[in-house]
Amino acid sequence: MYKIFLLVSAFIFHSCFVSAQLYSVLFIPKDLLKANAVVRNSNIRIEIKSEGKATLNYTYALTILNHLGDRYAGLEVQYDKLMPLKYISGCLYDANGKKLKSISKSDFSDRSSTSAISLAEDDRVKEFDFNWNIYPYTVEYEYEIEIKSLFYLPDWYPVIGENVSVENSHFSISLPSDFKLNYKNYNTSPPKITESKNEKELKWTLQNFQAIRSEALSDVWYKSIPTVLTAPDNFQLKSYNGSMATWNSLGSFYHTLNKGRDELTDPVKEKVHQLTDQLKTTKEKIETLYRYMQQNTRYISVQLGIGGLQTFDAKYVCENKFGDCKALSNFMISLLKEANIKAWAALIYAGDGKTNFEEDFPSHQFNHMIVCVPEKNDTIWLECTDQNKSFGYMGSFTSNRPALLITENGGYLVKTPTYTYQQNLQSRSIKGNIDAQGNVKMNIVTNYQAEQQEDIFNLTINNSKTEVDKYLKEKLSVPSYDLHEWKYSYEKKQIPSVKEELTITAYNYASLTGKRLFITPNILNRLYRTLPDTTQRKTPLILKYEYTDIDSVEIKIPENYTVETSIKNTDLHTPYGNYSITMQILNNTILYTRKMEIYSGKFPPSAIVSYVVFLEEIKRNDASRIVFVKNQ
Amino acid sequence: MMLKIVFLCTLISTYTVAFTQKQSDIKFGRVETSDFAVENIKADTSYGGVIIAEIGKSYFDGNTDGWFTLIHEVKKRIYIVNKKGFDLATVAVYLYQTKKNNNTEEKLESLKATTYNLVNGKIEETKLDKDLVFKENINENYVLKKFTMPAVKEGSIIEYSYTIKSVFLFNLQPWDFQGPYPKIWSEYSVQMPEAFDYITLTKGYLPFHSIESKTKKTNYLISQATENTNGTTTGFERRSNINYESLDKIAKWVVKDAPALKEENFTTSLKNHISRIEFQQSGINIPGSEYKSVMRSWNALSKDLMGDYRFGEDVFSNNKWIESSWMPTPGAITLNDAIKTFHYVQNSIKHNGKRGMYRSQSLKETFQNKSGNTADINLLLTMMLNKQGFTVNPVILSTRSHGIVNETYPLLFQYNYVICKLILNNKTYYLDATGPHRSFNYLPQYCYNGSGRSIHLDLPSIEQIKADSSIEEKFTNVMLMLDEKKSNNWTGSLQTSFGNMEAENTREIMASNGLSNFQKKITASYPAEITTNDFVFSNLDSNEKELTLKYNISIDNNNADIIYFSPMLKEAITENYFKSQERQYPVEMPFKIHETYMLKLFIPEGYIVDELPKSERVNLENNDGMFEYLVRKNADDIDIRVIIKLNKATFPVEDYETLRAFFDLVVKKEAEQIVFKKK
Repeated sequence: MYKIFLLVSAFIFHSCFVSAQLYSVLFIPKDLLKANAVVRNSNIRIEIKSEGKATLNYTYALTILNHLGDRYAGLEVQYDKLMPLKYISGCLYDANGKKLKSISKSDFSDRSSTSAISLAEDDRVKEFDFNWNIYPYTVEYEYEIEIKSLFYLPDWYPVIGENVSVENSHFSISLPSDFKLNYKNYNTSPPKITESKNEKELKWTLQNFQAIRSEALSDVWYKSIPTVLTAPDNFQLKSYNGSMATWNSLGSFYHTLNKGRDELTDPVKEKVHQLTDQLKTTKEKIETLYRYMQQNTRYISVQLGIGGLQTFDAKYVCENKFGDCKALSNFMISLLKEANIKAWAALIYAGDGKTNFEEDFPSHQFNHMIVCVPEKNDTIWLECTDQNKSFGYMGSFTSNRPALLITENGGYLVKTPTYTYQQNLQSRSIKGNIDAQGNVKMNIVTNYQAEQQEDIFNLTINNSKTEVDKYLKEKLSVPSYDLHEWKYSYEKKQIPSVKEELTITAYNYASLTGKRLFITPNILNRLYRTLPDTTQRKTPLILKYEYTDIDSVEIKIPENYTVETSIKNTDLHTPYGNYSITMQILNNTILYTRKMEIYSGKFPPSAIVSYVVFLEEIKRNDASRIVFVKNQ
Repeated sequence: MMLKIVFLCTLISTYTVAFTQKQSDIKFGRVETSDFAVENIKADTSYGGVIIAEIGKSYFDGNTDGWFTLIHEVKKRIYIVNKKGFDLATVAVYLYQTKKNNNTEEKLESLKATTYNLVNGKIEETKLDKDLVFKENINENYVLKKFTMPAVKEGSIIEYSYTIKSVFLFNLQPWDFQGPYPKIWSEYSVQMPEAFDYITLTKGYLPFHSIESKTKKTNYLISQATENTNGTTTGFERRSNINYESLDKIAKWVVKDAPALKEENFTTSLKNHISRIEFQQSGINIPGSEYKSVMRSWNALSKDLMGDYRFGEDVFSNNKWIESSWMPTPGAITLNDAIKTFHYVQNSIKHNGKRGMYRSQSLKETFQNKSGNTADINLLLTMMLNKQGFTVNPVILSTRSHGIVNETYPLLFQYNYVICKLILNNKTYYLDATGPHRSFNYLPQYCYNGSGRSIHLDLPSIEQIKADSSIEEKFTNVMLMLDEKKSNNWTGSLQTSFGNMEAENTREIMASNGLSNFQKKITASYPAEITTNDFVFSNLDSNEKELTLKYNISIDNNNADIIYFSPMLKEAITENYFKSQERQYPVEMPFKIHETYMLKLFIPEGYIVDELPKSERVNLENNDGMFEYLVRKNADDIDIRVIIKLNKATFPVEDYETLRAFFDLVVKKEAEQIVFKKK
């Protein structure tokens, strides 16, 4: 027993290697204290031995100043077979820098990080949190990961979050002299380079960085803080060699990894000919095969094997009729190939509004794969993991961003199409009658188009009638109502649209007080958004979504009422969009039209003020009401 | 106007069914062409998938380790109507495991899975590739085996069957007769040797189509390797065999045509409503040996828990170690002293976000690590109060999402949370120190869920911890006087004292976002002509005192000819809480409600009151609730008082329509305006 005890204490001594008082809060420069947490000392050391071998050693100490900094106090390390975790430990110090507790690998909990939608993945996570609550306190962690492939070379983000200051942070990479490393700096000076005979070292340092806040409607966080992105010229992944020197070379790597996996089974080949041989145009053939793919497969995520980068072959999909984005894309390309149509896989970073991309920095920036069919005048893009999507429609998930085409001649970066504010249209017409109690019975017909149809499309397609019914009975922004009828119809075109028809009675929608009747004619489309802060804006204003809403409302009011207060017509024009309202009352009927066009774009930081004024105007107008008085 | 709850007494003509179908007419493994016709599926197909038949069977077998193995067989036939039903094609089987006893785990065996598709009038079969069964270690007690059916598309029929073999006899598998997809035939049977007693718990509202129970003579062969007398094994294995003859009990339950079931607002837990059957081992009765009760009485269970190192151990001991950092004043056992200790624990020990009934560490570790799960914290509190000399004991309960407990049985798995009960001067207090902003004698919302159980060495008793015992009282007072400079504008203040739950939430929001953000949010919620400033909270840091918020309001009437004024300002209920026209389950709110709003409004100079809402009062029957709107016009001002009361937290589903109508009325009334006109 005695021996073991000695061993353990030696180990702890090693893991908390710093002389304690160093972490006393008194040593933190004053300017850095306006924060929730301060990075005291962070050190990432990467030693590259060869194209397929490197180690990462990460030590950092972080002082948590208040409970809002708690979210940074834990450690979560993701690892897998290609990045095995070699060592991990941690310590806790009080405000004076006195050590309170040490933890070792066995104190960390270990779990699978498989996402719920995934059938199988290799990834695991080790995590720990001290859950301390006497502020300030300091946590210190160290871990070491073996990087079995430079494909996964880490980047450097020294400012780990908003309201976090940095006292000292270092990032160093040592590598053989003949090895070429590419990097891209944001808001940081170039690295200090030291060279010896066989080796060189690049080192970045950040000191005394004062905490900043993140701002709404701005560019991705890392562009406003010091950041270093890295990518190796040459790397090795399992038995494959690749290069990130250019997009073309990176594309070649993916191509090599996945080539020769496009063989279909004979029955499926036959099916392709049976379906397409008689069709005249290429477009018809593509559409037919896309439908066939949609009807005969489903999306199941299986992220195993070579870093989740190598596809299951087409035969696998023929037999099992499921696959992940790579397998289904590969299957689609194989179908097209059988029909003599050229198509390429395209790697992309998918996600609603996730359009940020480092175009001038070839590296693995992707999380998804789609298919590109290069047609003469009209390139067609196919999303293969969604069995309901309209042919050729990409939507907010993959539109308006670069994608890397994987061809036999290497990779080519191209941009996917953008949907305009005219295409992202929601147009609604409401016709109703107010009865003597103030209840409004109305028919609501809405056409949703392009990106504006995505939510309602998915909601109504993916849920049962009972659920859609329940949703509609609760989710309209009317105080209280009965839903009488509903109906959806779909136009699955390249710019898809959904038509929604509802009949409801909105109870007490018009408020009656004595002889007066109050009504807000904008029934279903008021702007409720909370507005961003306009003070001390530092980053450019980025508006990503562009769309148009048109609402026309026709409401008949009971007899014998005269207008007491009405709504003024409004017409606003701004660089961010236009907004107009027209209102008239004819034969006891309110005729109200609202048109709102919102543009996308990048604007200087100062634009936030006029942008918010624009939204406030819209909010105010949207809430405006008409007052009628009963004729005596 | 008087709202009434109308009870419709429908006369249900009862009739006897001459013949009840006892077997599913599905022949597994034999799919016919006609089975693919969606019009033959007698269920709501809009969910995208239908369980045509599922049959489960649990029984016992003698094993070679001298004991019994539990065998659970499942087979299912599912029709995939369309893409919405694809989820049904991915199957997850949870298997219990333990690191003790040489890593014993339940085994998944005899997995067969086939997809049937109708292709050009012919049935095509595709079998599951066994390589595509994935294993995932969830935690130290569960392994997950996952597979997805091959060749599934719209119109596929899938069938799978598997067996789970388990040596954990307590884990007699439960059965859900209802789920997120409709089920046409769901059948479960259990055969148990007379040696084993299990309690059966049934839940939900669906009637059983049939219940059968019978007995059957069964032979069990149990064998065991025997050791030599000196405890060593030789090269020859010697086995001893026992032939055990039992009069087995067999029970079989069938539910037909179970509709799909999904979550609704204001319900505690779907678990309380789903049709389900579950089991708890209660006793073992081996011939020739004494009856061994597995299910213990509450007295015995309490004793166990009190000695359990994960629960009561050390809670009532002296715990001298604590005295170096925390020393109670001797003899200090007034309510104030208890509150002080409560505050000490809630402020010094941080809740790590995990809930549970069992401790994750020793009391000392909780104290030193300054963090722990809910049991760590509340049992430490119990310990400290006890050390001080208070009469305390732990109370276990089931949180809302965990379902309501069946009081009849002393079954621990029904409980998942522990709080501290204090009795002082004949008054009972329930304490939960897991949140820094919680008041003494208030529990988090999720604890108000029917009955709990006092864990006590001598007197374990039922504790009623019902939502009906918690009341959310809010009081708002608004005073709007005439502006000294511009006498047709208003200036004044709004003051609110929050109910307890809202106070806790508000304290939490203030702690994480700060006053300026809070202020911004409120300011933004008023229309442009109303400005607010000088926000002041009182008692933000003292959880035991009423939290109040006060701010100033000024309203610019812009010298308009007509002024329309919403007397409720932003305190009006603008949307019915119960929007949906219909509802399947009872309304289960976490508390009763009592809100009062008062306004004193001066009449702007140069204006007359042209329109004023009328006084009104509505009662719910049986004094279940009321809404009162009183208006009084004086010479220079107007007084309004609005009260909403709900005197119950739980309403049966029959009352839903009434409740909805009640809130319609509230919304309507609170939207009314006062109109002033220039003289």
